[in-house]
Amino acid sequence: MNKSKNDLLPGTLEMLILRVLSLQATHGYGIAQRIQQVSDDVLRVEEGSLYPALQRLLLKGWVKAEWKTSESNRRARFYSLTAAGKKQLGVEAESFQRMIEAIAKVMQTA
Amino acid sequence: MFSFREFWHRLQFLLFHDGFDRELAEEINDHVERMTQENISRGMPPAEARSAALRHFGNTALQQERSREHWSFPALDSFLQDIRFGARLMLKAPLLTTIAIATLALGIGANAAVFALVKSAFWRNFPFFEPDRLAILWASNQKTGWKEMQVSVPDVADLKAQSHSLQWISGYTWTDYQVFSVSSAGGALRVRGVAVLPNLLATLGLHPALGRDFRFEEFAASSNHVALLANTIWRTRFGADQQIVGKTVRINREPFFVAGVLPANFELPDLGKAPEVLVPLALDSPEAHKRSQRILLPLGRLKAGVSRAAAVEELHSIARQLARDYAKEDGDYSLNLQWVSEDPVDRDARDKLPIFLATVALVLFIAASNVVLLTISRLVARTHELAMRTALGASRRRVLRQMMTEAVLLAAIAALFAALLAGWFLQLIMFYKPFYMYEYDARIGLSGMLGIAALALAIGLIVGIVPILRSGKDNVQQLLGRVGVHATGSKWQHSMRRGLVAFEISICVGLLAAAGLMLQTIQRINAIDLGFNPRNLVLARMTLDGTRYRSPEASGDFYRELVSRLRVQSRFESVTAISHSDFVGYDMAYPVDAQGEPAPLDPTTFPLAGAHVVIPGYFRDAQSPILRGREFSEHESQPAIILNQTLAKKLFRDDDPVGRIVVIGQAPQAWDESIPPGPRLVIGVVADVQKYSEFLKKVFPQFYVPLEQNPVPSMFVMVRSADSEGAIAAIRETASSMDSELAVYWATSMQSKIDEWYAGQHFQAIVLTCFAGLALSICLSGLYAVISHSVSRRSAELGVRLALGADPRSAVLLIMREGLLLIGAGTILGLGLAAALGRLLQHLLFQVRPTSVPTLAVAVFAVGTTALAATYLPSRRAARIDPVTALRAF
Repeated sequence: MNKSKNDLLPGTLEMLILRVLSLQATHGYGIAQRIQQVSDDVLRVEEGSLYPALQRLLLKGWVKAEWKTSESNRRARFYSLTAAGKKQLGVEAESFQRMIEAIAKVMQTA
Repeated sequence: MFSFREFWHRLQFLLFHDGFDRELAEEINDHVERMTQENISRGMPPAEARSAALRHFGNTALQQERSREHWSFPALDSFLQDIRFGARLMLKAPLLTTIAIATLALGIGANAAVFALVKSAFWRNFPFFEPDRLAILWASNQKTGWKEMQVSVPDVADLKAQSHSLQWISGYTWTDYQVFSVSSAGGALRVRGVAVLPNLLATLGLHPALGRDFRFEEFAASSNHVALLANTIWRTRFGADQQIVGKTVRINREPFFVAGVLPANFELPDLGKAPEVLVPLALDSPEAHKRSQRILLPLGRLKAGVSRAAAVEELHSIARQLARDYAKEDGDYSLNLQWVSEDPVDRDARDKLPIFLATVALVLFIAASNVVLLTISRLVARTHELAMRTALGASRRRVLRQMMTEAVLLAAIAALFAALLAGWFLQLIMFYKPFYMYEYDARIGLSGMLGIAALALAIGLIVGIVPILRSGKDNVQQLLGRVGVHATGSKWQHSMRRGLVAFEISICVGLLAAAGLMLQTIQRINAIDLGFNPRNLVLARMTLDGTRYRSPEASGDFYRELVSRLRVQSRFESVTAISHSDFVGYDMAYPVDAQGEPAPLDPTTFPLAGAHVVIPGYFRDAQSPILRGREFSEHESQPAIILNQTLAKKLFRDDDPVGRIVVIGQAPQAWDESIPPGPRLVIGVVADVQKYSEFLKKVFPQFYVPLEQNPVPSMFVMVRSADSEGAIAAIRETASSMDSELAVYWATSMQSKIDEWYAGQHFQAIVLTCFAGLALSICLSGLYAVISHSVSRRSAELGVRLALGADPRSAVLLIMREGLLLIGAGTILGLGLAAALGRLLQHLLFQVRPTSVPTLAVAVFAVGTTALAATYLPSRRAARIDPVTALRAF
């Protein structure tokens, strides 16, 4: 396991989780896998931050969790987005977009 | 802060966190399982696959812990956790916990009780309207330096006319009355009463509970047979008769119209006992017109909005004017305001109470330091646990907070018991309180409860922090490393323990020495030869009033008759009579001289001597030894006098006074009890009555004269009888058969009055002995714990010594040397403390010096031997250490 780890920008993990869940309800392991796959192994989610982050989202009411039987006939806790979560994702995506554009501007002109 | 939904979620978590925990654990488990499956599908062997997944995932317990932190109220949750854990620990060591809680509860409870007592000595609940505007107007004589003197009626009238800063001015004068109620079967009753100026109730801001205040026209001799009754006497004597207003009661053999009943708890601001009857002062009597008759205690109420300083200023200028206008009577006098709310209940409290405070503070110190000792012991035993916690990632602050929580929990439980104990302690004190505390109205109350809580919290924090002050310096490796060898605690903890034990020993020596001083005082008091025999003596006093007993001889006839009627009953060992008893009531002092006429009341030139009027045979019946001459006979041919030893010595030095002449001067005040001045022939000298007084510190000069030649209205009848109740009943019955409206009062046994006189000493002796015993037992248990801990701490070292051939006895001595060092240091400190406590006790000591060497020696010896025993018992274990076992511990 000597792949270099790319630390996420602070605050972005929650946004990424919301984004993953907006496409499909899945369990904690699925979320981590999905982020890793989609980012071509650039973004690796630390399990140590994943579960605390999920608890935070549950607490804020942006995601909800229920126990379901998964593809491989195993019981797992599936997370899905709530209406409030959808709204929050919009807000976060927008501000993230603005941030990226701003950073890009600075990087290009300076 | 939290939104409502978040709060609701957290609350749910707090209540059902077990379910949440299970779900999270299951979820994490599922996650690890999936990683394992993936590893297998990549071709890893199953066993390796799982451990690789676990490694990747990291500390699952920590993840779980971090996740749940989001849910809970983190501070509250860990606080509750600490409390649960602390409580479990306490239950696991019930003996240690009980000892710690009991010592703290005793210490805190005793402090709360004594603080309540002290507060009640300085602060009282005034039954007046706005008591801080109320003042007593005392006169003081510039020339003689006498303070708190009364004021004449014309002076008060002038004050009233000229003062603008005082809204009300009134006043009163104390007298005794004999109230006789025709309706009640109890016979005549002697009560305390006051004759008052108009507007007394208005000045105090009070209203009668029934009826009305006096009217202005009632302050004349022709119409002042009107009375206000105190609530107490109205209830006990008149059956709380609602229709009493307008009825007639007999006071001093004359009918009085009842104007009203005073409110409950009525008292006067000058701290006398509450009056039971109020009557109007006759303002048209001759004595009310004389400025030389200082009979009134004036009261004033400050006008709203006027400053105290302005009132004092105005009063001083009025007093200066009076001194100029009436130089003969008022020339030497000035006037002062004593604000009622600033007057402590007990003016001598500053002398009496510090010893109580010091005692309980020391006991609390011992209790708290013993709890620190116990905490250190437990902490040492928990080195393992604490090291493990730190290794598992507990922050230093978290461990510290846990320690504090445990200590505060202990103190909080102790506080609950302390609140109970404080109430009991106070009841005990109030039950045994010496007479000087009669005015104290002590209760724990809300402030007491808050005080207990604050004290417990403070002690909890101190007890929590002291043992671990230095423990933070140990790092985890050190702690864990030490666990392997022996859990012995840090160096700081060890020196802390030794220091505390030395202090405890010093406090024990101090308290024991103080208790010893008091016990010695009691012993000396019991050994006093009183100069008469108090065994089975019973006294009762009567005062014959001028209305019925007009001629001076009538008084002599009455008492002679009463005594002979009692003697005839032949149930009593002896019956006699005396005007003033040394232990009951007061003395009347007269200037006396061996030649020439003494000036009235000039204590600088002539000795003042206490006067006693007796009937023939008094000294035989009191069993007072006549040292020279003889006692009074039935009919003395010329005015005769018997001196006590002290007066005889003062007047005649070593000469024989019998047959010489002494002259008695004018009494300080022309009371109706006065004996006539003039020359008298000394016929004998009698032994001193030894009455030790903390103020005089010596025997007062006294003389005795016969009733026949010196008729006074008030006498004690003194009966010697094993049946004191029966004797008092017989005196009442016989007196009542001779005069049904005569009150018999102050009926008591002589011994009880002597005990009361020394009650301060007895009380202090009991308190100090109890606390010294308590302190000693606490301290010994502390010493025992420290030494036995020392044995286990050094068991490895001792094991090596023994293995190398050391004598087991030398191992015991090695340990005992530590104990001896502590005892020695503690004793030296204790001697200093004993001297300090002795100084606080000085006012109570009798024929004992505060630095009495034998007392100190006994205290040191008592503490030393018991402490040695407490050292020796655990030290013996040093000899029994098995070298093999001890060395294996390395």
